[in-house]
Amino acid sequence: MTSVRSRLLAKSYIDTWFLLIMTGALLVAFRIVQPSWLNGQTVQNLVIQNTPLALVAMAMTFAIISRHIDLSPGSMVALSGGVIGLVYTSQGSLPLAIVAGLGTALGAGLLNGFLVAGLGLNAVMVTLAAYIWARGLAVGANAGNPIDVGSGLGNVVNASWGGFTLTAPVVVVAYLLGWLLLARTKMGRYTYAMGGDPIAARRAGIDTALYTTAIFLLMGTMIGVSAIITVGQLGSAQATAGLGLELDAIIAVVIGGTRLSGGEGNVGRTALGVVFLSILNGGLLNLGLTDSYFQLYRGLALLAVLSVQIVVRRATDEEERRKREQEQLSAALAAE
Amino acid sequence: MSAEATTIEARVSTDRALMVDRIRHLAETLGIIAIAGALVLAFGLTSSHFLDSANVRNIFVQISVVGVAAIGETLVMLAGGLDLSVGSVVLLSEVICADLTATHHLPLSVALIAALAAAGGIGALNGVLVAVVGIEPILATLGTLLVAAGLAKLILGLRYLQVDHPIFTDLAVTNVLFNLPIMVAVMLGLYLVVAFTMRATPFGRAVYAIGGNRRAARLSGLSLVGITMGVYVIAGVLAGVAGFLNVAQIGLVSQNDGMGMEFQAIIAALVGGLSVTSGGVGRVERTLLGALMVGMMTNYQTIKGIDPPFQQAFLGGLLLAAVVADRALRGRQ
Amino acid sequence: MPGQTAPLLRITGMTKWFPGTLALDDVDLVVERGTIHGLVGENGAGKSTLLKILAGDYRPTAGRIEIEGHEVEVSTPRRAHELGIGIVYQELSLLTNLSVAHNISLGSEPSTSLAVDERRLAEIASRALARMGVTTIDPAQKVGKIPLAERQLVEIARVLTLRQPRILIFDEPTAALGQADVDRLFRIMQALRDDGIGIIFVSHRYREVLRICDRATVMRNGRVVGEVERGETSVEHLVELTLGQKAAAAFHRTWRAGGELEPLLELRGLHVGVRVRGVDLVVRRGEIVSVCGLLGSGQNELARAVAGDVHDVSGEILVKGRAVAARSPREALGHGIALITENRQEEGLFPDMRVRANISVSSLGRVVVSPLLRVIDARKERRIASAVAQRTGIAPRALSRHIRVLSGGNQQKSLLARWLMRCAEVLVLIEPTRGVDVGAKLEIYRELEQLAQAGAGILVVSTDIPETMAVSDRIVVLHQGRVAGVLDPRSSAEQDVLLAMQGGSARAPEAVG
Repeated sequence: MTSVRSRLLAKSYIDTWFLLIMTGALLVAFRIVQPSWLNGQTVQNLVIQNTPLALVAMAMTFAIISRHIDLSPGSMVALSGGVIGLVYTSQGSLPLAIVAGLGTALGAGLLNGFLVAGLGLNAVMVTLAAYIWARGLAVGANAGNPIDVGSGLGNVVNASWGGFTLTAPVVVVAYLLGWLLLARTKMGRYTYAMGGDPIAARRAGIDTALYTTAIFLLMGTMIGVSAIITVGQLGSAQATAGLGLELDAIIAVVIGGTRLSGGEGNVGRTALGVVFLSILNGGLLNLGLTDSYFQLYRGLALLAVLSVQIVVRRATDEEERRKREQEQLSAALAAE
Repeated sequence: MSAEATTIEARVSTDRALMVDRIRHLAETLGIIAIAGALVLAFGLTSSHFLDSANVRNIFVQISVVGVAAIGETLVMLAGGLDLSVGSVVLLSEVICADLTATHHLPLSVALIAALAAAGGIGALNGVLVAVVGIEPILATLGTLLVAAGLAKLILGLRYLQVDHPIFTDLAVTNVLFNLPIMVAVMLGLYLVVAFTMRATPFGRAVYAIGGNRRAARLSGLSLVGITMGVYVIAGVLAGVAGFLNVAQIGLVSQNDGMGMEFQAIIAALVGGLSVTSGGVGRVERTLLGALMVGMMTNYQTIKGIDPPFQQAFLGGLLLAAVVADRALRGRQ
Repeated sequence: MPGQTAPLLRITGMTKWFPGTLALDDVDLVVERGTIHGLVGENGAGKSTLLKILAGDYRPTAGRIEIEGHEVEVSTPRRAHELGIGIVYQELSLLTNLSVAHNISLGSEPSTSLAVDERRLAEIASRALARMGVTTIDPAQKVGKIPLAERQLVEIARVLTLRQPRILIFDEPTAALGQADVDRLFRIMQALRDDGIGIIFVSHRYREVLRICDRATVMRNGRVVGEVERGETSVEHLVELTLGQKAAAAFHRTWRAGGELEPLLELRGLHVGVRVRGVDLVVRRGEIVSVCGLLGSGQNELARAVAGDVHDVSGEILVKGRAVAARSPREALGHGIALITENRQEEGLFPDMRVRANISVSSLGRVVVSPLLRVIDARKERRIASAVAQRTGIAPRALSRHIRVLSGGNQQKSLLARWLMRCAEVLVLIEPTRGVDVGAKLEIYRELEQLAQAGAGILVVSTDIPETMAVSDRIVVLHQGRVAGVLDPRSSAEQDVLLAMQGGSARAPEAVG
């Protein structure tokens, strides 16, 4: 019993405890301000609204653990959606349009992966460029106007079972898949290895180019699915789809306790981060704030959480270090 | 084998190293000038209006706002950071300036000081969050982006504020340098001052040192907190100045001003050859060249009737080309 | 010529240029199966470059590699593994964020169709560890949590899991090990040799080379300068071959401070975390004091504590008799204490800045036009930087080049020049001649002596005992964070220092100073 307890209270869980407490505090705060807000309906809405965030954040976890990052998902969701719209308009075939949209997202992932892994370029800059060119193409696709895709896709995506649409199981499946990939497969191991020490990973004979590309392809897949869902939910492809999605996803991963320096983290923590961010965004929106207060409070809340997180982490790191040193010393003295 | 032979050998290899170093440095400097020259030539040859003095004036006016914001962004990036809040600070400065003069009828000088103070304040907040608290720059400045934009929109509401103070009109209209207006001269002047500061003052050296090697900078007795605070505050203040220039150029303040300007500033710096792989490499004056290249491309495409969204797509391509060129010149680490 | 007559590994004409440096110059090397082949040489002699080419880390500029008579190209680390080449790196290449078992199988995980087979992974790890007779390591433990000596064993276990290990390279594997661990390692190496594997053993400890190697190749300045058989050579012979000229032996102090000296730096009951536990020490004006100890005895922490680079410091630090509290290197510099660490690349140099700027970076206040107009007077900067550069022996034309292209020796001299320009009174150096060629070593020793003569107090942390014997006025030996002895190099032998480092006191610790 004590071992379970001490393990739960161990340092690796401090981040998680911290996040749970923050999430709880947030819920209580919103509950007090808006007693009617939190109910079954809210949960359903949050899931529906935050599906792209959840999916992209899952893949972003891989990117960040491997010491890379991807700034392009928001623009790519819009571009892939635009392709779905264009193909549907010109060919009239929904399946073909969906395949084309997925293909666009995967193709972009492949391109980013090639530039980062193949040419060895910096991921921030490569994906920043993609963030810009993809949004340009997405807006240019139909002069910034929505492209209607009829109701076929919407009927599937928005169909509701017990209040939850298809998106809820998609998110659950994606996270299960992500967890399996990260914790149980070679790709997962190598993701940690590359993030922990890229040179050591290469020396161990890992084909780092291949696995880096795989990470960007995973992101491409999540982007493709997000694009299909977004287009389906709205019934049209919007040039402004996914604005700010990449930064939200990064925040969700970081708030979940994964460090930008790479080498550690998991999708479970990211899931918690997504929940926290969804509640924050949803709760603030529900207060009926103007855009100005919404941004202001959101910014302050994020800065506060990130600051407290760092302070907590520093304290635990320091304690951990002291404990380890003490152990080493006693071991050395015992060996005498 | 004698010590003498060893020394001679070492000297031979050192000489070779020095030569390689010199050639590479020359290639870097000449490279960007050559590319810029090629662009001017290509655009000039394929468009009869591109090199018109009115069009050249246009290009300079168009880049002056981003150009000023990019100075601060360059400093932050040279020190190994990143500032995403630039665009929001531009908006905040515009709104404070317009609101105090148009709504509250305060003198322009008071408005300018208040706006610069607010801009510098956001910069200081960035500095504290990054250097003291220790949040990653990309996240910290994303937070302040939201805070600054929120504050600005709080003051502005849903209004459009018109600013028609004669000084602003002068900034955009009166020519001082050849046929370039005051605002362009302001931008060029700021580049001169900051470029000089970076080259010839202890502060400039310290920025390069911190960006190049943080650990070594600490052990060399440089104040990491002080210098980091310094670059973020300067970036904030310069974003504030960019806000004034934007007001002067447009004469109107609205909600979407400054949106995405941080990315344009980052692109200008990168196209200008600022290295992302090794911090502490780059020159402020080259950012001006980067901003000019971006401005020329945009202008040329507008002349040729290309839609703005596709212009943006090309810009993404240009950024990618700059990153590839950086890698090709500096080689794989 | 394939077949039994061909040696296991034959390297011919191996040459490697780095920008500006010829790291390997036409190197030939033959390793037979079932032998342990020593590879010795100073830091920077080219051993590491040669190993990294064999491991697929670097591509050679010219030269060929044959394994059992077949020419091969080792293009990537992966290819090296396929060829049966395994390397145990000196600066361990384990991933501390992964478990022991995962590290051992990294890159060749057993897997079912989809998932990594965790059970077999653990089996492979246990088997590899058991083959070496190691039972104390838990394969499920994260590598970051096990002691350094055990990590070394994990690193070795890793190369044993290669499908068909043919050539195993050990790059200074004993540097961090105690005697019992070294013995265990040698037993493992001998067992591997008896299995027909060819082993390349790189070491600075020549006694170990003589003890275990069948043959040894000596390198100097990127070239092979000798090849010796076991039984035909001695430690002295090896030393002479590797050094060409013995830096420490060639250096003789020509000046020593005498008379009543003012104490510049005093430590009273200094504690740093749990690593340094109550150290008293005095460095007087004009003195060079060395601090020695086995790896992890607290000497590095002590040096960094003096220079304000670590937290968790208690006890008293006095500069010229006044107690100071240096919470940062900046504050320490304010008291005149400067630090050069063992990690020049990461903690010393600004690689993309010029040598002159690297030298002046800590003293720009000295070269500004006036305290009010803080603009650098370029002429003044050039003048002072040139003067200190000349004193430390840096060629004037190197001053305007980027420091990254200089040799290790010149880089180190630049760092000395940095503190010379700053007029630091107390200079703390950790491993001052690591990665520095023989000629530069001598110049650095000479410069340390001159600095002392000019009135500085110098504290040197070094694991190179001949070096400390040659340069210092006094040697303070640490053992597990405490002073185990204070020796006078003029009246002591190397063995006394070694003995004190192991914890046996050579003589009763004298009153300090």
